[in-house]
Amino acid sequence: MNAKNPIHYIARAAGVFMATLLVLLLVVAVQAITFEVASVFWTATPASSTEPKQELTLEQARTQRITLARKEFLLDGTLHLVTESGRDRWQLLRASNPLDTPMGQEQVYDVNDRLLWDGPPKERPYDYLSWAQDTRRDSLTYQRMRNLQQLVEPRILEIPVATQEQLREEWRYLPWDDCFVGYSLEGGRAGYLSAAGWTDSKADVRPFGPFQSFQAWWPPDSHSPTLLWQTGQCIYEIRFASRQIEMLVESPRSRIEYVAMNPGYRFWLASSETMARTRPLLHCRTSDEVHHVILKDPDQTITVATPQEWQQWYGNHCEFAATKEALFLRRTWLEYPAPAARGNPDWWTGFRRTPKTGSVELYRVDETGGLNLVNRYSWTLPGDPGAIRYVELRSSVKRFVSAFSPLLCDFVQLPFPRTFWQNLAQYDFVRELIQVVEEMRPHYSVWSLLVTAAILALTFRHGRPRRTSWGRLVFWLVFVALLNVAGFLVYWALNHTPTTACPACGKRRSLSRTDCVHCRAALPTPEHGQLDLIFGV
Amino acid sequence: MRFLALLRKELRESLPWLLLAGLLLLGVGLLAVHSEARFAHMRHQHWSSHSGLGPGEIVNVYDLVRSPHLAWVAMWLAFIAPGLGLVLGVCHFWVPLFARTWSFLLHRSTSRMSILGAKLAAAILGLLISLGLVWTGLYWYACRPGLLPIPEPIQILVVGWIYIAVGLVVYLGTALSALSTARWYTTRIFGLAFAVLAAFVILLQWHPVWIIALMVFAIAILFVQTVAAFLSREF
Amino acid sequence: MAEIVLETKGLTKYYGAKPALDHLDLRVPRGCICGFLGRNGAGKTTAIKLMLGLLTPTAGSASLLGCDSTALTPAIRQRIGYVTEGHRLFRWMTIGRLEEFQRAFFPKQWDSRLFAEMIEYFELSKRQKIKHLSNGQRAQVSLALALAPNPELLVMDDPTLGLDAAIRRQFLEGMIELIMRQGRTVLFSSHILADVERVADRIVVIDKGVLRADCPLEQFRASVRKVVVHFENSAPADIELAGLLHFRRSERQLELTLVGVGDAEVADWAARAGAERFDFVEMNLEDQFIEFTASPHRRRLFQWEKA
Repeated sequence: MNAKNPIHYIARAAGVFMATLLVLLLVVAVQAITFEVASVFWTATPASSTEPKQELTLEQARTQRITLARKEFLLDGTLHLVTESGRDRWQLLRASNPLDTPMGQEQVYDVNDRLLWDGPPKERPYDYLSWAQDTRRDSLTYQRMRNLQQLVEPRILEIPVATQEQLREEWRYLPWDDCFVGYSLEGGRAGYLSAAGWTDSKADVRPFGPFQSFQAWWPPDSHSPTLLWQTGQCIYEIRFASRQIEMLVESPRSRIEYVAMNPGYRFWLASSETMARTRPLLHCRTSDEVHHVILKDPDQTITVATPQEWQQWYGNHCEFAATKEALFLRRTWLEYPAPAARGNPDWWTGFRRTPKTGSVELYRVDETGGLNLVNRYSWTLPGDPGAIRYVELRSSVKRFVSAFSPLLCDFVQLPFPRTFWQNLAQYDFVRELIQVVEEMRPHYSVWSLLVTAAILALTFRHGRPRRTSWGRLVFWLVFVALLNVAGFLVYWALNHTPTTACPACGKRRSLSRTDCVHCRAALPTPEHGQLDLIFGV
Repeated sequence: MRFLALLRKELRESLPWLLLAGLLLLGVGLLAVHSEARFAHMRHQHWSSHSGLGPGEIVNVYDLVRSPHLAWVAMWLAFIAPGLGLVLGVCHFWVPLFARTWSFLLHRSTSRMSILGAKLAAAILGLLISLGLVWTGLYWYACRPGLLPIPEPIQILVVGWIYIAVGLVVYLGTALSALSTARWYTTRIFGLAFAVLAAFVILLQWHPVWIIALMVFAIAILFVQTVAAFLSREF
Repeated sequence: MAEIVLETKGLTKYYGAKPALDHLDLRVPRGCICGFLGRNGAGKTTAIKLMLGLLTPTAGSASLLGCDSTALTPAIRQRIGYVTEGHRLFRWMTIGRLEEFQRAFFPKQWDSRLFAEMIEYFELSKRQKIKHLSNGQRAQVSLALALAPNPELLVMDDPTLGLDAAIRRQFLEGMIELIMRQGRTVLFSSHILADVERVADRIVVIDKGVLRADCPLEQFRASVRKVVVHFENSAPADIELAGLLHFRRSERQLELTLVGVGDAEVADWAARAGAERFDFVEMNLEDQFIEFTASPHRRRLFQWEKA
C-alpha cells in the first residue's frame, strides 16, 4: 500500500489511540495493585491498632454515649437521648430485615445525663415526634433505573392492576417515551398514563420528565399499587386502578433533591392509631434549600425557606414531623465548614483530626413557613489522630507509585461529559476503577519529574536512529512527556523496529528508510567478484 | 463477478458456523419462549398466591421489575454473537495463515480491498442472517397474540440487535489481531483486547445515543486499522 | 533486444537486521524459461513474493510486465499465473468449485477446454475435494489452475516440492508441453536440478540472498568445472589461479573447482605448477550447483580449502 494513502494516517492515529487506551488501563491496574501490595507491607498494621487499647474515662464514655444516641423530641419539645444496648450493630446493618435481629434494651437519658428509663423498646413510655423518612430506602432510584435499562440485563417495570383473584391489566413503563402503556389481559391496549394524565393515544402523551426515583405502596382499599413518581422538577402520585395522576409538587426553577414521607401519608385511611398521632406528611427539598411540605387531613402545603447560613455547615439536614396540632422541623449539623469540593483528601484529613461540635435544633413551623426555635442541644465529637497516621503513610506510597502516572491525565476525562462517567459508574467495580484513576493522579514531586526525565531520555535514545523525520520524533517525545510510562510503552510498542550498524559511520540505523539517518549512506551492497557468473540479458 | 465469487467463497466457508449459531439461537429461543409463556399464564391465573402482596403494604419496588420473557434468550445471544464474530474472524483471517492459502487468494486479479471487502461483507451478512433474522423471527413469534399475555417490549429486540453488532466489533478485533505481525505479548493482542473493552463499555450504557455512538466509534477504530493492516501486510 | 518481462533493481529485503535478499538485479526476457536456484533459505521464495507484491521490499524495486510489483493491477495479475509453494488451495472445495472460483477472475481468457484436458490428463475428477488429493495431485491441480487462463508469465515456487519421482516426471512433462506450446515466460524455483536441466534455458542462482549467477544454462554448465591435477611429488601449497572457487588436496593430487576458466588456462597453470597431468571431471548440473554454492562449513567438513 502506498504510504501516502490517507487511510494509512487515519489508521495510524486510530492505532495510537487504541494502544494508548489499553496501555493506560494496564498501567492503572498495575499501579493500583502495586499501591495496595506496597501499602500492605509499608503499613503492616494501621497505626491506631498498634496502640494498646485503653479503658475509656467516664467523660469519654459519656461523650461516646451522647454521640451514638438518637436525639428524640417529645411532643412538647423536650429532648431525650435514646441509646440501645445488647443489639449487635453490625448484625443490624447486615440483616436483610432489621426486624429479624434480636431486640436489645433501650435506655432513655435526659440532657442532664439522668437515666429516665431502661427496658425493651416496645414498652417505652415516651411518645416521640415521628419524622418523615427518606423515601430512597424503599425507592427505585435513578441509578437503579439506569441499571434496569442497561444492555447486560434488561428489565422492564410493570405495574399490575388486579382484583383480589385476577390480574386485569399490566402497565408497562416505556423509558424512551417516559410514560406508561397499559395492556389489558383480555387483549388490546388500555391506554397511556403520562404527565398529561390518561390518554388513549400515544400522540397525546407528555413525558414525566427526568426520572429521579419512585416508590410504591398498596392502598388499603386496592389490589393495585399507587406510585409516587419523582422527577427532577415534579412529584406525581399515580393511581393505576383508577387511571389517575395527581401532581403533588412542581418546582420548575430548582431540582427536587430529597423526598421524605411518614407512614401516615401512605396509609392515611388505615388504622386510627396512626391517625391519632400524626398527620400524613410528604416533604421534599429542592436544590435552592426550599422545603415543600404537603399535609393531609386537611390538605395543606407549606413552603419553608431555611436561612442561607445553615448551608455552610457540614452535615446540615432538616426533617419534618406533623402532629394534629403543629408542624415541626428538626435540624442536625456539625459545626465544621463544609468542603468546597467533594472528596478533597486534605479536607478529610483535617475533618478527622479536629474535634467538632454536633448540634440538633427543634423548630415549630407556622402556616406561613416561619420557624420558631423550641429547643437546642449540642455535644462534642472528639478527633481521631491515630487514623491520620495510617492515611499519611498510604499517601507516601501513593506519591511514589503515582510518579509513573500520566502527567496530564485530566486530558482523558475532558472529551467525555459527566453523564458518560455516571453511566459507567453504575457498577461498583467501574466506580472503583474511576476512583483508582483519581487516586493515581501524579503529585508533581521531584521523584516524578526524575522518572519523566529518564523516560524521555530513553525515548530519545531509542527514537533517534529510528526516526523518519524530526517532526515525528518530537511528536513522540511530547506524547511520552504527557503520558509518562504509558506513553513510553505505547511509543515502544508501535515504533520498535530493528536496527543495524551503518557500515559507513558505524552508528545504529533503522531499516525503515533506505539511507542512514546520520550519514545518509545507503544500505551496503554485496560485492560481486570474478567467481560470480552474472551475465544479464 | 469477482467480488461475488469471493463473497460466495467466504460465505460457503463460514456456512457451518453460521448454521450452528442460527440453529442454536433458534432452538434456545423457541424453548425459552414456550416455557416462559407457560409460566406467565400461570402467574396471571393464580395472581394472589403468586404475588405475595396485599393491601396496606409497602411494595418492594423490585417486585414490579421483571425480565422480559426473551431476556434469557438475549443472554444466550450475548454470548453467541461475539462468539460467532470471533469464529468468523478466525475462519477468515487466522485459518488462511495456518493453511498458507493467502498467497493463492491474494494473487487473484482483484484488489486487496475487494478481497477484504468480501470477507467483511460475508461476516456482516452472516451475522445479519444467521442471528439477526432468527432473533427478529423469535421476537415476532413471541409477540403473536395468544402466546404471551402481553407483547414483549421492543427494547428487548433492540438489545438483541446491539448484541449482534457487538459480534461485528469482536469480528473486527479478531481480524486486526490476526493481521498483526507483532508478537502476542506485545501489540498483537490489542485488537481483540480493544474489541472486548469496547463491547464491555457499550453493554454498560443505557442511553441509545451513547450506545450507537460508542458502537460506531469502536467499529470505525477497528475497521480503519483492519483495512490499513490488510492493505500493507506482508504474506 | 528482447522485451523484458520481469525486472528487479537492487531488490532488497531485510528480516530483522539481516538481509534475506540483498540487492538482486535481474532481468528475464519474454519467452525465457528461467530456473531460480538456491539452497534452503537462500531467498528464492522471498524474491518471488517480492516480485508478486506479497512482500514489501526494504530497498529496490521489481516490475512484472512493466508494472511495479508493489502496485500490481488486477489487469496485470490476470496475465500472471502463480503456483504457490506447497500448492496451498482451499481444502473444502472440489476441483470443479475451484475451477468456478478461479474462472470468475478470468472471465474472458479462461480456457475451460484446456483445464478439462489437463484434469483428464492427470487422471483427476472435478468432483474430488482438494483435501482428499495427494501432494502430487494438488500440484497438478495448481498447474492446471495457473495455466488455464493462458498467462503470459508463469511464476512457480518450487512446483515439484514433495512429489515423488514418478509424479514429478508426469508433472514436468505436462508442464513442458503446455509451456512450449505458446512460448510463455516461466520463472520457477526448484531444488531438483535435474528438472531444471530438462526445462530451463536460463538459470539464476542465489546464495544467502545474494545473486551469484544469472546466465544461460549452457554458459553455467560450461563455466563451473572440476579438474583433478596429478603431481609426481607433493602438490603445491599455494595455488594462484584466477577463477579458483575452492580446492581439495591430497598428497599428490589437487582437486580444483573452477569458475570461468578455460582449458588453455588450466593447462598453462598445470605446466607452471609442475603437474604431471590433469583430468576434467564430468559434473551434472546438481554437482555443479553444489560446488558453486558450497558454504565454508561444508568445505571444512570435507577438508576443502577455500581459495
